[in-house]
Amino acid sequence: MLFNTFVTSLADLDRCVAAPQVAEVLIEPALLARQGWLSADAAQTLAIAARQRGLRPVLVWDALMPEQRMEQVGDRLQTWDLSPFAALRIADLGAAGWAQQHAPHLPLQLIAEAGNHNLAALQGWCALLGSSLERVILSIELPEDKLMQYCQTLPVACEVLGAGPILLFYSPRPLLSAHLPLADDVDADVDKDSDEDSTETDESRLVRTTVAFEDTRDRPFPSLETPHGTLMFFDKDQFILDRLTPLKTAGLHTLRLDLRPLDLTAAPAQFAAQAGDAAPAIDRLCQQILQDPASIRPQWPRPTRAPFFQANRTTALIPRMKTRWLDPWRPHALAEVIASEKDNYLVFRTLRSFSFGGDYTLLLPTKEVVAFPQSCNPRSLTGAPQAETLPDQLILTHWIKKVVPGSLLLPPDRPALLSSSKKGNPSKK
Amino acid sequence: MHHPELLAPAKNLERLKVAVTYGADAVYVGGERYGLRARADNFTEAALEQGVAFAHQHKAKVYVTLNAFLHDDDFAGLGAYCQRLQALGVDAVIVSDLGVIRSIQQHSELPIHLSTQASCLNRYAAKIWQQVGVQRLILGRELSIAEAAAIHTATGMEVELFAHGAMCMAYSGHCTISNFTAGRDSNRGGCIQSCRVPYFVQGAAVDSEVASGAANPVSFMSSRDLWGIDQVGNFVHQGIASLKIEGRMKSSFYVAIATRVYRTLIDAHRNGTCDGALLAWAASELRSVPHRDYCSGSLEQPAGGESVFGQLSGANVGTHAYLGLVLETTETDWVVQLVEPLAVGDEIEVIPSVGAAVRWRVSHMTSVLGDRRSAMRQESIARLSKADLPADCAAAGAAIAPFHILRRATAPVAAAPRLATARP
Repeated sequence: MLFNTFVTSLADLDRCVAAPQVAEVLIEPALLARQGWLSADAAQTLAIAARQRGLRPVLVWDALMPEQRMEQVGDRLQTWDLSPFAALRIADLGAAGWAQQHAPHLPLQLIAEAGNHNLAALQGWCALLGSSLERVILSIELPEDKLMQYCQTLPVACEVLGAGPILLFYSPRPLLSAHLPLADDVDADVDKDSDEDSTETDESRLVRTTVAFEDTRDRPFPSLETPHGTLMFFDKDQFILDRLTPLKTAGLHTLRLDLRPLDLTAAPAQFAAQAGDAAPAIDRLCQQILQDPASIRPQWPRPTRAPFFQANRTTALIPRMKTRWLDPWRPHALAEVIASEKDNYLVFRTLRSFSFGGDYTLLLPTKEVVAFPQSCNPRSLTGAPQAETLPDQLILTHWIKKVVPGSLLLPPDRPALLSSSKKGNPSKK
Repeated sequence: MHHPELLAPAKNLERLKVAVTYGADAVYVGGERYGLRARADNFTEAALEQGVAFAHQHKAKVYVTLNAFLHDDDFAGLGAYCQRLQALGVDAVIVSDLGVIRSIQQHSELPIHLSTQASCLNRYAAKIWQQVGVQRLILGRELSIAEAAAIHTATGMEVELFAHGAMCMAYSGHCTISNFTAGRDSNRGGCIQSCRVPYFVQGAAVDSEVASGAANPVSFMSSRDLWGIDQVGNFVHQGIASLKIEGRMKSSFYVAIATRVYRTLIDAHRNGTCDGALLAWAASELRSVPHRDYCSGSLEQPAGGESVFGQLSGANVGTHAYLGLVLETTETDWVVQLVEPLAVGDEIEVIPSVGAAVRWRVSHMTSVLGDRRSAMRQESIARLSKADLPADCAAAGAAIAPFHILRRATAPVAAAPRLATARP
């Protein structure tokens, strides 16, 4: 298992060279990367320097690209010398399409972190992108057993975030600068085709702040406005550095260590960032991962979590949000009560053709069961007696005690109303 | 001239019928699983069967959303479900996940529309989805109409674009706030709309939204609602295949008004009768339903800071309140289901699918049994006498039919322009 990390300086590269098992570095130009601020020249210089140091430089193109922007970026990218880069890391499928057309020699690394949470999708991308795909970056929303399965099953190398910020939100709109006094000092418009190198090379031009829910102000979410939009991160970092053995055994190819500082004002002692660096202490961190991984978490500069590493239960609550326990009977229902007035009437909307007079049952939203009385006088809106019905017809009957809108009229041959679940048992009255 | 499809949302069977009644060419609905609106009523297969039959009877299409990003365990039953959808006559499915697309293709011949959740934003991406076998692209709301048209031209694929409704502030599918802060997967139907709540922004200027004290919270990531009434002509002229209205969680009132407005505008552009008065009417009608201010999003140019809705300044509740729905008509009455209380003396409007609103003051109302009432509570069924209509409204009253909606003004209303009385 190898490590990779983002780099923005020669000092970063030197630390990567000193770090065990770091063979690859991620380079983010402002033109292409959500959090990037390097000019084209700086990115290329870094890539050349990385190669000279025996490192594999990967060009990060993880910004999403609306059509017009895609055209502009594509045009500019055609003027770049891409030869120093060993691979291209993409999130927008369009970037993959562009690369296959204009830079077919560049292997692709597909960021499959948004969606793509199933094997069929990942296998689909492997088949579709073919031999140009060298790696898939898996989502941290996948639990460990799935990560292991995918590492063992997919025909390409896999990567996952080992430690670093968790991106919660990515918008193309500039949302922070309007609220911050420093907005006037920020030139964050990469769309203007002015001199790229003079407008995109300064890291301080990114708008940084934290935001917090009204009721949990003690949990600030680091947030960033860049020329590509607004990013918001979780208040805790993803962290699995002390739980790597099974993934390593399963064949995980690369573990990403994202040390890019989100808050320059904070000064964590162990992994303090120097201005302009993206990989502070990567050498020490890699040593620690290999020698004493349990010692890292207590020193980590931010709170840590791996919320889905054991299991992803993010749909468990959804069935409980519904009060739709009648649904299993709905396909069998003859009619639904849509209105009632105590002591006066019920109004049914029929769901199919049927004849009144059978041994029918009313199933109530309260989970009670009420027999449908033979003497309830079904009639049309004009008051005409209604022995037979058509679908989608309004039928009036006498009021039936306890029956409320939403109740279902069921035929005698409907499925058993008593189930094995005590909690869900309707009670016959 | 190109005639874009008008595509409306339907949370349930009632709303499907409302949408079709008001002129939708197609509706999109959620099934019981695999969609992004877990809390919506969603359609059982029985309801879907009825919905498809109703829609097809009115020459409208039904698309079913299967646009959650599924995990492996979620695939159980998907193939068989798609086969049943095909057997029911569903016209297409809306999908965002490649794994789901592959499963659908293995088990059915359902046409596939790529969900906006997949964030297809450019021609290069479109060509890859074309290779996958997708028939239509529902493009990201970050694109302008011109950009959508360029993708259509470059690929020859049908493109669909949202023209109206609420918007995610994030790139669709790129927000996991609910996942990590509430344990609910926003991309599998559990979004808790964290973008709509106020946040404290560190270092924010005081009084961003409310004038009280320091460090006020701001709803910095809540988007205004989209409307594209001024751009409908562009949809028509640029060859956009489908003009889409957002809102599978919205009321029949919203579905009716939005569908009616865009139906009217599309037809007017087709007939060359769209003018300033009609656009003013459209704006007034859309303001009648609850909304979060309006903006044109990115339909013309990329949405910027002006597209943020100041949630704390108060939700816009609309100029009208939804009163109920016409269930049936008899020779003498309209039978209506009320969603709000109604009393004799109230001035109400029924909105026919075509033509001007029919407005009158209720002077005679009975229960569904025919006994006279001075007031009726919400959720009850009332009979409104046709004899109540002023003589000059009698002809318009004849157009009132089941699934037309009733509303009541809560604010002064601009005069309505002359509207066509028949759909072309």
